Amino acid sequence: MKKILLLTLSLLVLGCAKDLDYEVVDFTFVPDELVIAEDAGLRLASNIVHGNVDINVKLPSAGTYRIRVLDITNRIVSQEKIQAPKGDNILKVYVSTLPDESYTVELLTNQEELLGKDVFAIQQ
Amino acid sequence: MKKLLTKLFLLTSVLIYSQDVRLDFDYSITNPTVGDTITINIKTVDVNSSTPSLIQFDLQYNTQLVTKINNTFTVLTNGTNSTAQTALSEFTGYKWSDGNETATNLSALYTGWNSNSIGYSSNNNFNVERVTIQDGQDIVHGNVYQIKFKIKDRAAAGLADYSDIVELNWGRMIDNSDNTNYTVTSAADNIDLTSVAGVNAGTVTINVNSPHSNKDKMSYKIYNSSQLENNVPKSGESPAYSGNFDANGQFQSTALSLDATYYIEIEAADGGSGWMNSIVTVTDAYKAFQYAIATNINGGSTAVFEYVLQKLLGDVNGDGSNDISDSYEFLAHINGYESSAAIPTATGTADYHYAGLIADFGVAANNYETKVFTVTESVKTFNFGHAFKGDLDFSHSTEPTATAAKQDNFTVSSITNPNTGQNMIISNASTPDENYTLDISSAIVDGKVELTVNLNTTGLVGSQFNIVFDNTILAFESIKYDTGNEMTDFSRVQGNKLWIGSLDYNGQKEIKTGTPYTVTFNMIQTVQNTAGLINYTITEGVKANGTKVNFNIQ
Repeated sequence: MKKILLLTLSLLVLGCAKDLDYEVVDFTFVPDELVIAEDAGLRLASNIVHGNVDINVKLPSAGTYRIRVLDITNRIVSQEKIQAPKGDNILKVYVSTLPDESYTVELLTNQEELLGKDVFAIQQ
Repeated sequence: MKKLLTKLFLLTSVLIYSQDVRLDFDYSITNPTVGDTITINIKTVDVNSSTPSLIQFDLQYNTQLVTKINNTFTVLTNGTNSTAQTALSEFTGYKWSDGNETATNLSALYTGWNSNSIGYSSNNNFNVERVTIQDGQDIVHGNVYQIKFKIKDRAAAGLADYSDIVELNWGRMIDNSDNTNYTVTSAADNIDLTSVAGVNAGTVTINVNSPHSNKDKMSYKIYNSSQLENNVPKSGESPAYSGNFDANGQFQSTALSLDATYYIEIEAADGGSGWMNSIVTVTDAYKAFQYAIATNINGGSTAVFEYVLQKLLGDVNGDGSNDISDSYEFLAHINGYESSAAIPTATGTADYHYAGLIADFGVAANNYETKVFTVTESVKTFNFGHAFKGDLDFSHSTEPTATAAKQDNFTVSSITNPNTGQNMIISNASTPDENYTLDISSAIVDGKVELTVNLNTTGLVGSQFNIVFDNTILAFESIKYDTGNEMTDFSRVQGNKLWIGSLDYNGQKEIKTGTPYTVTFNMIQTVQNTAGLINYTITEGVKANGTKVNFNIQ
């Protein structure tokens, strides 16, 4: 009986307290291996890839960007256009259909300004 | 000529001596080859009633050119002098000099040596044998001594020829019964060998002038002339030498011989990278169609290929003609069907390879490909051309350079399609490729993955896109064409491969600019982005005049 009275009293006290204002902030968890210190850039979780690899695409502002995969001769073998928000974006690069070679992955604005690039090798 | 005059001089010199007896070489060898054995008999030849009972001479041989095998006193088996006394003394590392004496006057040379005016000096490249034969009776004229040598490779010693492999330095013959000292001469005091086969040629360089970047996936097989029949390898023969070219399309061999003839096969393999899929493309298909449709209803054709070799390359079904059935083989190939085994693919065998010396590569009079070559002292580098069946635009094949390889009546501006009246420039392989900018990319749109091709340049009558997608994540749904109402489009999906393209083989309609192709995929697995999911292996276009267009993807 004593416990019920205490609980009822506590609810009355909390119910009369002033409401708190909450701000919901989008938060992308960035693993250590994908942290980019600069304002914009690209980073791979691993430079030896099997199947797919996580990639952090850090954007200076929200908008449309290009992610390209180029082969050793600098020929574009795959290109994606993404719409993404400012900041870190953890995405993937899929490589299972590519021949076992070394490739470059590039991040560009839609107007083809290079923001970052990295090199990886496939080990299927 | 000089040698002949020298021999005549020597012969004359011999004749003017008061000669009594000769000491001559007697040997025979045909087609001498490194490693062969040469048997040399030394015999006496009576000139003036000589009856020697003592024969003595010095003989030297060049140890860089021959290796002694053995010797035999053949005098002991002549039926008369079987009990003659014989002696052989061997001196290693000495070379004889004739001084001012005549080389064939063996008696004079002996006299000079005895008086120390001529003689020996140290030389590691020569050995000397002193032969003595003595009997209590006259020695019968004829063979007295035999020596066998194995012929060595002169290239190893850096010598230019096989002169003076063996030489008689001096000789004397005496009749011991009355101490008559005979004048001994020789018809020829030395032995020269000519045309010795099997001499190592040193470094021989073979180049293949292919225009692609996979030359290290090209291989060679070389056969010796003894393995050939009618200038091709006999059935069942294994190549004497084989291997791969390097990335520059070259290999070097130190195993070939001078003045030897060889046969070479040059082939190529994909090696798993898929490069052979890009040999025959929409440009080749367009050229094949343009040639074929120039044939009129009576079978006559106004089509002319620039090179005669192209008629062979274009006959992919092997029926001896270049007609519409070949063209459809090309079309099937660029649409992903393995139509003809003759058209090279990554998984096929590329049954036909044309390869020959570049000097007459593609020349019909030489059967298009000269595969036989001879290594000589002055020619040790050989350049070969190589072509794939179906490669009408020579994208991966050697464009012939010989004047005779061109069609006599080929002029770019004079070819007209009799069916359309259009001017056709179908096979001018020399026309350089052009580059067009193309925007091709994938994106997630309304929960599906879309691949769009955006073209902003006019002038294309054909295009080809070979695409590979990750079919564990994506499933092909549809393709939307916006190439123009009259353009013939094609596409095919098999497994994780997608072939897309368009071709107006008359060369009269152009692919509309804008977004001619939109491919939609459903997601089997939900993904947040598409990077790497869709890859482009071939992206190519062709213009109405047959010019190949490489797409620079933006």
